[in-house]
Order: sequence, then C-alpha cells, then structure tokens
Amino acid sequence: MSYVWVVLVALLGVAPFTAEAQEARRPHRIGVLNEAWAANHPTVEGLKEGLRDLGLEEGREVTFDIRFTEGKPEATPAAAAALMKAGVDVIFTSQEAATQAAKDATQKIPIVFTLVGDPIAAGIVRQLARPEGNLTGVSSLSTRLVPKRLEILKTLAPGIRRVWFIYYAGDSTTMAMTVRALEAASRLKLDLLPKGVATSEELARVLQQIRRGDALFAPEVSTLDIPAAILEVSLLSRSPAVFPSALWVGHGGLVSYGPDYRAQGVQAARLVEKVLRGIRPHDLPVEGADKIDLAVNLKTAALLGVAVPRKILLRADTFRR
Amino acid sequence: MSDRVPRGQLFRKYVAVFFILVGGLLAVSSLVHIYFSYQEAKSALVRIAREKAAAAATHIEQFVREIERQVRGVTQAASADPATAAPGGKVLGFRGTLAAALAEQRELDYLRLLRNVPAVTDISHLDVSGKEQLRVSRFDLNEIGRQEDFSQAPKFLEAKSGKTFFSPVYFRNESEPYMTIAVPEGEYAVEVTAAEVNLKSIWDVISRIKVGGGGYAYVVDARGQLIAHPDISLVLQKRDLSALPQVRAARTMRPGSAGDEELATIAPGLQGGQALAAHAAIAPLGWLVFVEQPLTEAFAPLRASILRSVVILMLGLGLSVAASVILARRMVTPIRILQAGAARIGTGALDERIEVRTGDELEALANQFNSMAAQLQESYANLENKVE
Repeated sequence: MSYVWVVLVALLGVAPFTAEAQEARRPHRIGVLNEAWAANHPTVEGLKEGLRDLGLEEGREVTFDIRFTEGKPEATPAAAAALMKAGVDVIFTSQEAATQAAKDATQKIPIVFTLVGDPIAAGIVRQLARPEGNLTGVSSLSTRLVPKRLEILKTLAPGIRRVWFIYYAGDSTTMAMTVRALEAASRLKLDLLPKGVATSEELARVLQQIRRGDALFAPEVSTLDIPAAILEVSLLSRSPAVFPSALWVGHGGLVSYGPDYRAQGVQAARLVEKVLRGIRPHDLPVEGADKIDLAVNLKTAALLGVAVPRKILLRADTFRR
Repeated sequence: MSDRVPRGQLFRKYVAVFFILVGGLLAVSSLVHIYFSYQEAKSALVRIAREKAAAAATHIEQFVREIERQVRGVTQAASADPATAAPGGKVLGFRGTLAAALAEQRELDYLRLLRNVPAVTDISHLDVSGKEQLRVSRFDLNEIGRQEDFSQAPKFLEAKSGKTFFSPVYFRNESEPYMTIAVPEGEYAVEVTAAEVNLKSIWDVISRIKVGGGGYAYVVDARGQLIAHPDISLVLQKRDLSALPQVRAARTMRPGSAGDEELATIAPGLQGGQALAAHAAIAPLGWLVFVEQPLTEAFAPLRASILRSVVILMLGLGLSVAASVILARRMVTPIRILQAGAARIGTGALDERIEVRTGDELEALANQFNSMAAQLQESYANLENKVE
C-alpha cells in the first residue's frame, strides 16, 4: 500500500501546467511535394480531410505549402530544395520520385510519404516496423498487387494474350515489380512485355506498337503521365487495361485494383499529426494501405465489348456506369 | 526563588496538553477518514474500470465472432445453394460436373466474402483429407487445386472436430497482426474453411472505446504481444508487453481463480505516467483486454473530497489552538493571582487579601491564604499588645 501516499501527495500537489496551457502558437507548416498536375491531388485532399478530422484546421493549426511538378522528374529536386528553404515542419510526398527527392534534400525534416508501391525495394526505408531516419508513410502495396492486377485483367478479358507493361525507366521499384509481373504472367499464361520508357517520345513510340487484342497494364507512378496515356490508348484501340487505383476508372479506365488515393491521404494524416506532436518518424511504422478496392467501369466494358463475369461483379467494390 | 521559575512555563504546558488532546484526535480522525474514503473511492473506480474492460472485451469478441459468422455463412452457402445443384441447363450425372459447379460456386462465395469483410485477406477450402483445393486471396493469385497438405495442421484438425479454430496471432509484412479462423464445413464437418484475418481492423472497434477523457483500451494476445491499440503505430511496432506489471499480473491470474484478488492495478501506463489499469479476458482467443486511465484523471473526484477534508482539518486545528489558549489562560490566571498575592503577604503586607472566584480548589487555596494572612495579622496584633 505504499503507493497510497504517492497518490495522496500527487493529489494534493498543484496540477502541473501542461504544454497546452501555453498561448496559441503559430500554425504548423506542411510542405507538400508531388508530380501532380494541380494542387488538389487526391492524396492532398485526403490529407486535409484527415487532419481536419483530427482537429487541425487549415489556416489555424496548419498551413500548406504545395509544390507540384506536373509529371516532370527533373523539376522535383528543385521543388524539394525550395520547400527546405521555405522552412516547413514536415514534408508530405506522393509517389516515389517526390519521396526520393525529399529524402535527398533533408535528413532532418520529417517526411511522410504516400503512394509508394514498395518502400523497401525503392530504398526509401530499410524496414517497415522501424523505419530508420526521418521517413515514414503509407505503402500502396503496388508491387504486391501486381500479380492480382494481371489476374483480374485476365478474368475480365479471358481472350487476351499479350499484356504491355509500360513504366517509367527511372522508377527504382521496377525490378521487383517486373520480376513479380513476369512470374504471375507465366502462371496466368499471359505474354508480358515490360517496356521501360525514359522520355515522352519513347512512350509515344511504344504506344504505337499496341495492336487490337493486346491488353495494357498501367503503372502507379505518374511520371511522364504514363497512366493517362495508357488510358487514352486503351479507349482508342479498344484494348482492356488495368489501373492501380479507382481514380482512373472514374476517368474511363476499364478496371482497377488497389488502394484509393484519397484514403491513403487520410491514413497518412494520422502519421502527419503524430509527427507534428513531436513523435519521431523512426517510431512510426510504415503502414500498408488499409483498403484495397476493385473498381469496374461498366460503360467502358460495353465499349470494349467485354462481358463482365460474375467473379468480378461479386467481388467489385465500386462500379461506374 | 520565584523569579527563577520561567513565567510562561505552566501556560505553555497547558496549551500543549490541550492542543495535543484536541488537535491530535482531530488530525488522527481526519487522516483515518481520508484513508478510508481513498480506499472506498479506489475500489469504486476499480469496479468501474473493470466493468469498462469487460465491456471492451465483449465488443472485441463480438467483432471476431462476427467475422467467424461470416466465414461460417460462406460454408453454408457453398454446400446448400440450389444453383450448384442444377448448374444452368447442363446435364447432371457426371460427378465431375457437379464438383466443378460446386467449386465455382465456392469461389464466387469466397469472392463475395472478400468484398463484404475487408479484414479477411485469404480464404481457403480444405477437403476431407486436409488438402487445399481452393484459395482466394486479396493480395496473391487465387489457387485452384493446389493440393497443399494441411492434414496435420491444427487449423484442419481442430475445425474437423467440429469446433471453430482460432490460431495464435502471427505477424505478416514484419508488423501486421494476423489470425487464422478455421470453421467446419457442412453438417458433418468433413471439410474445413480457413480464413486469414488481418487484425489491424480491430482498430475500428478499439479506437471507439472511450475510457473517460484520457483513457484508452488495448488488447494483448496470449504471449503478451500488443495486437490492438487506438494508436495503430504501437501495434505495427510489434510491441511485446509481457514485461509490463499489469500484463504480467493478468497473465498469471487464471480465470476462475481470480476470486477477490485485486483486479485492477496502478501501474506505469502505456503512454507514460501512472495509470489505473483493469483487464478482462476473451477466453476463446486467450486475449486480454486492458483499460487504462491516467491516475490524475481517475482520481480527480477524490481530489476534491480530500481537499475538503484537509481544509476542515486545518480549520479544526486552528480552533483547537484558540481553545487551548483560552482554556490554559483560565487555568493559569488564578494561579498567577495566587502567586502574586502570596508573594505580597510574604513581604509583610498582611492586610492583603487574594481575590479568586473560580469556585474550585484554587478559590479554596486562596481562602486558606487569606485566613492564614488574617491569623498572622491577628497574632502580630496580640504580640504588639503584649509588648506594650
């Protein structure tokens, strides 16, 4: 019962003045870095929504300094450096290139990433449970989901043989992804054609080789705007294509399998909030995206002459009509 | 002689005696009162904490049972769907056709389960001999007829005996907690359906459990690993909590033998500081649900009552000081008068009379002095007369 006295003393003692009792402090500054084409990328919208739910209001508790580089990989390091100079408290990135640029720019300012398909293969963190250094974030599990995407493509369009797997050549997870994709393709009896492209001209050349009856596999990385180009070709040449996120199905893509971008932003907001509370990224394990969705665009399916089988209809989380 | 005796000695002694008697009693009774009200309040708080822990355990068990129910539902649909008995217009009679139709129906049911229950990541069908015939996965390629042998695996053996099997918690991707739930399939439990469940999804339940303002609930598995906490980061760190005093105490306490033992403890909280921790077990899973509340918050109502008691004690002590002073003064004043009167008589002022009206032994003593002085005066007068 010795703690009785500890408690009594503690109870009689004056309540300690906590940090919250301090006067209102300046808002936290959140730097945002991605290769999007506008400031309102779904992950950023998700981040804002998530922070609002956690009681951090834009303008009052947090402000955003958003830098987007319109798919231009060469512009990203400069944008990262500009964020450093602006003196932000935390950097929120989407996709690998931006995350890598932020990582190269600072070892001090915490970085919270989203839409990174495989943080370990990309060399962004060394382990998930205890990420070393100043980075943590949400993994979109893209590498893991590659076989599943091919399977869904094949289920939806059983007649396909050749699948074009077009990706940005500077993407550091490509090796891991290609290995998994080739392995899955051989099991699914698909003929996979991996094509790394480094420039828009190369991309255009590859896209010209696509024939009717071929299928397309869109990467998650939006450098060079590859997913959008694949979407366009898919609709023009009536080739089935699978995308990493429901966002593309909303724009007319046939099918997608993967986590929602906005949801990843919301999920990452929890990590950003903890970082702003002073918890080191080192103590915040990298999280896998919470929910994996299958989305199908029935209008595109009709356009492409694809009969959506029950296996897809029963499994799908969202439909576009 | 009389000048050497310190003047206030007696007064101080009286004050001290009265104060010790009155104030001491008051202090002792107040402290006893505070101690017992602390104990009472504590046991009430412990009871509340324990009820909260039990409620949290029920919520989490319900969550797991709901997943179990969904998995069981799938097995029933697979074995009792009229559509499988008569697949669209095809000629029945070939055993193979029926088996294929069943397998396809099962795959559809499994796919539907993956859509409806996000926590389930894989679901597989084990046949009579324990071989895997179908696996539908959220992350990996589906497998049909892989024939992997699970006939000696606990998930097959236990489910085959008719019970639901809950595996120990294991971790995937370094940090995510998982569990296997296996259920017997069909009426005669000859086949088994096994589902892999991502326990990250308990977060939805655990983060909604409110324990006061700053309290929280968390779950540890049979080995003391943290598997659910409102702060998902702690879970993903694969925290081993088996060394925490409250976890150790709870694990050594076997259900049933608990009796009147203390079911809640004051221990270092997971999030720093001292906390009041209570627990409840989820017996079928071997999990323990803890509910913790920061001590300062848990004891806040008690703080007011203790403060009140202390204020009253201080007032009482002040009063007892005043009372002691007044009492002592009333005791000492007549003695001082006696002392002064006796001194004057001693110096020869024999017509001096001492005025004490206390109605007690002191007045009697004064009267004795007075009559002594009177007799002395009388005998002096007689002596003077005789000399003259």
